Amino acid sequence: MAMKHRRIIYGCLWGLALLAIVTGDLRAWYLHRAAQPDEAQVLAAIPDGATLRAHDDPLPYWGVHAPDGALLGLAFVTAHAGAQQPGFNAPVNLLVGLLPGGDIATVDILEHRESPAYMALIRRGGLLEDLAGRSVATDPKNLDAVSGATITSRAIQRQTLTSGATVARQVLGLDIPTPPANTTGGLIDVWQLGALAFALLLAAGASLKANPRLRRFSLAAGFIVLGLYLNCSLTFGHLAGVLQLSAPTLANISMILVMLFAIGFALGGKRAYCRNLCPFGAAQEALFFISPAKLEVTPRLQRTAGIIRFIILVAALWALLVFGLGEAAELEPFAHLFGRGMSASLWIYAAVALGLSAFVPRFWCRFFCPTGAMLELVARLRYYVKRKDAAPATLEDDHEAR
Amino acid sequence: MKPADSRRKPRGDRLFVAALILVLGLMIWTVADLQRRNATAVADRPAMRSIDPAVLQQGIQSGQLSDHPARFFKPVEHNGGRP
Repeated sequence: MAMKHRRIIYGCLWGLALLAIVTGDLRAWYLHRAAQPDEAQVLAAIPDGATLRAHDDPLPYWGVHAPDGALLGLAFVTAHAGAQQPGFNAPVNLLVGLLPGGDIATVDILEHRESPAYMALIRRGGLLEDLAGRSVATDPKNLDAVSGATITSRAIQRQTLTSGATVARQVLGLDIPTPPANTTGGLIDVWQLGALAFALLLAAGASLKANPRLRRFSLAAGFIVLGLYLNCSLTFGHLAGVLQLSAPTLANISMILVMLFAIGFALGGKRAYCRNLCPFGAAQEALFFISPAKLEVTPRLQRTAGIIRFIILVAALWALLVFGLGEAAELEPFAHLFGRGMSASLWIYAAVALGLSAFVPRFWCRFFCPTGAMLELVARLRYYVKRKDAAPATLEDDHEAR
Repeated sequence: MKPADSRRKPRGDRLFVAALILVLGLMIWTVADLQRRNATAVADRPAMRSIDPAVLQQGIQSGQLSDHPARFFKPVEHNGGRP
């Protein structure tokens, strides 16, 4: 493909991506302002509810009544009841139905700024149903989290129980203590922080020194630490959250550090995360290294196919940010592979995407990965702004040079 | 007569294009499967999320319920002040 045509295509993709981001931010702002339950939702919070009475003293809540006027329970929004519990990005706003005895009837998600992939795991994992029927006096430590979405799970459980205890005390007059404060706050421990710092330093060194041996160590560290140990691979969903002006809270400091590393190096024109740290990239390179069969593909075809991941990125941005299709944040197989939240379709998808890299180096990264495409667009930005002729090397350039 | 190594390339190209199409197809299938599973997740089942529309309609027609969204910070007496 001629350089001139390629520039035009990349320019169009940049424009479409920016339009999706701006439209998505406006949509998120509007939805945030409009996040109120309607009457049907409030009625459904308490089984057999037929009529509502809204109150705002001592805090906003609804009394849900039977057709004969008997009080069946209360419904309230957690944003109006006590301290907020940070999730991955921000507190999750919930509609909770509370029975007069202090038991939870229902929990529903009204609004959140978490990664859609985490919320999908939570919905499929039955976390909300598990809360139903429990007393607000339950110790949150006794509840199981959804694997792969632990921080968001804990935030939802704690938010439901602490705000439920507040409403039970102030409105129902029950003698229920506030659950103990989350003293750990979800912060990673010293071992985890040390392992992450080690992997990041190796990746930074491999990127700055361009040492192949150091790079292999760095990829191995990325696979073990980021993939198997911490499960904090950078995904399209995480970066899309940043584009919606929603950064991770301190509850997930490991992801903050990984994001700062990836975006910082990309702003400097280097794709240090993709080349030296990505766990799925490391697995693909290892598979290609041990594979006896290699597929010979003309470089021109590979270079042309490289644009597919940018098209996927733009399509995913529009689907997720503009049209609210949360599943678009789950199109990367590694997000589930390391989170152990796999279904049959995801297993097949991940196995094929990984297996094909035995024949074509970094098959997923070079032709499909929207996370890599986004970081590469950021890395290219520096060269567009500085008006330099030479764009940074793409992943295809790396492989052609070897 | 073309040399043997250059004859291998088109075959590699065809397999490569087939692999691209395969992964794209799997991507679309996986996202569609996730969408289907999310739509039928337990939290989205009618018993959990919705109320019998007949009860709602009855409430609206009898004046016990308004058909406007509920508002925060504004007490609304939907049921004529009964407890």
